[in-house]
Amino acid sequence: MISEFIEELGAIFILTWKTIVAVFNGEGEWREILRQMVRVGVESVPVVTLTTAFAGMVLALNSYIGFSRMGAGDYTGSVVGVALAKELIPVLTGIVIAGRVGAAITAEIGTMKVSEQIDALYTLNTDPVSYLVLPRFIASIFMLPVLTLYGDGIGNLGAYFVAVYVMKVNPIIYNQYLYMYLEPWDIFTGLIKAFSFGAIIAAVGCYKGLSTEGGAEGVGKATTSSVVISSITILIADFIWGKILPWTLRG
Amino acid sequence: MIEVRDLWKSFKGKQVLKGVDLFIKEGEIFVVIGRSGVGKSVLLKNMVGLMKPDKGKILYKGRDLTGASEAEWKDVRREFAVVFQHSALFDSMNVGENVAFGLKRMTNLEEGEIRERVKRCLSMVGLEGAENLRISELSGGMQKRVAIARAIALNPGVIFYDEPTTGLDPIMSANITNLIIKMNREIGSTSFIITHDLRLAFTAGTTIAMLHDGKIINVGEPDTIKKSSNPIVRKFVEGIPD
Repeated sequence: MISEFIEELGAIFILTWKTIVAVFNGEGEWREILRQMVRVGVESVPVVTLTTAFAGMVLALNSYIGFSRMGAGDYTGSVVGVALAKELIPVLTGIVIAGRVGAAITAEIGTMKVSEQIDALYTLNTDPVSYLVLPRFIASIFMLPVLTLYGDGIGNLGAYFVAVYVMKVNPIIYNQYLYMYLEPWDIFTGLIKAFSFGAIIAAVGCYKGLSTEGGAEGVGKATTSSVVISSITILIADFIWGKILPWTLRG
Repeated sequence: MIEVRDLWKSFKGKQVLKGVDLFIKEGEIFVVIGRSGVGKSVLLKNMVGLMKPDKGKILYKGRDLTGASEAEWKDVRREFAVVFQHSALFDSMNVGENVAFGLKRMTNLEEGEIRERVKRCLSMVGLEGAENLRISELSGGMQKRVAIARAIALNPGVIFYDEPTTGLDPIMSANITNLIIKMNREIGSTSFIITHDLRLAFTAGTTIAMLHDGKIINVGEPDTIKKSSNPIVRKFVEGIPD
């Protein structure tokens, strides 16, 4: 079990390395990269909007309840802003995209694998890494930070709405503490994480697709496994980033 | 033209090919028959470089392809085309884009020339004007014909067919058989077919080989195979149950 996991991890790293080499060799087609950016980014906007808005609202609600018990309800904005930017929005966006886009990548490539379309690509002198993996990889690593930045905005709007209109926090004080304690590094930290989560989603999704075996059942198993592995790896990576990025420990 | 010498291949300890020897002459239609699961597709995939043999040699025009690098295979594949068992058409593209795929990637033809070539290839397989159809709109027989059009677009020296009539009704199966013969005559390509469809084998084949238990047990012209005294060949040809 453990040896299989390590073997799989190694294979994912090799695929990622091949993709990076293909990027530097100038392989990949711009039209396909843009098409994938639309799929990963634009088409994910509704689900990211809903997820991050409610995450911000719930966090603001519970933070206010906790802080007001200590008479510090006015500090809600500062804590919510930092928590959303550094942790919640990048991780939630990563997990949601793993479910939406990672699953779609695996299902699409997996279906191509079991229907011999990947073999057909080889016989037509087309490397699946540069043709299929590279555009999805580039789209994911660039669109995840964009979605996260967007999610930061929506999450904070949701938090502001609940804190100010539901919990009746003074809006001027809320904003004052938010801007006082939320540093640009907090947002940047979240974006670095999102960039890595994009790489994880694309690499795991593509690897699981390319290693799919069997028919429809195989595609189903590969898709499930892709979402589970991506989600767990995102959580592990989030913890590792928390440790190795010294500025994530600031404040 | 193509020579397979003592080819061995196993999967997870199971020996599938146990020393296959074949010689395919230029311009002929060479058919490998055999029961399901005897390794016909494995043999084909080894011959086109989609699998690496454990042992043995594959020679194309005297050039040893065993252990060839990916760059060498890319060079050879310009002369090879494969029609897959389930057509393997790219369902994210339309018919025209499927046929043009190899032309865009393996030739320096201009856009207009590619369009002309696609039109001509589709016309040769009886699908004039089908360029803009989606793959999901096509029947199984039409998909096979598009796959053949995609294969002939690059004027290959050899066309490999993996079970080209599987899943088709008898009339469509006969149409595909006739199309394979027509392509062989009109393009002058060598054809290599693996199938368990005896009607296809005996109608199209100029040479037939029977694969059984990982080895070629009988090779010859269709009449020789029909009259073979080998009990395994007789049983297969006459369709006698186990």
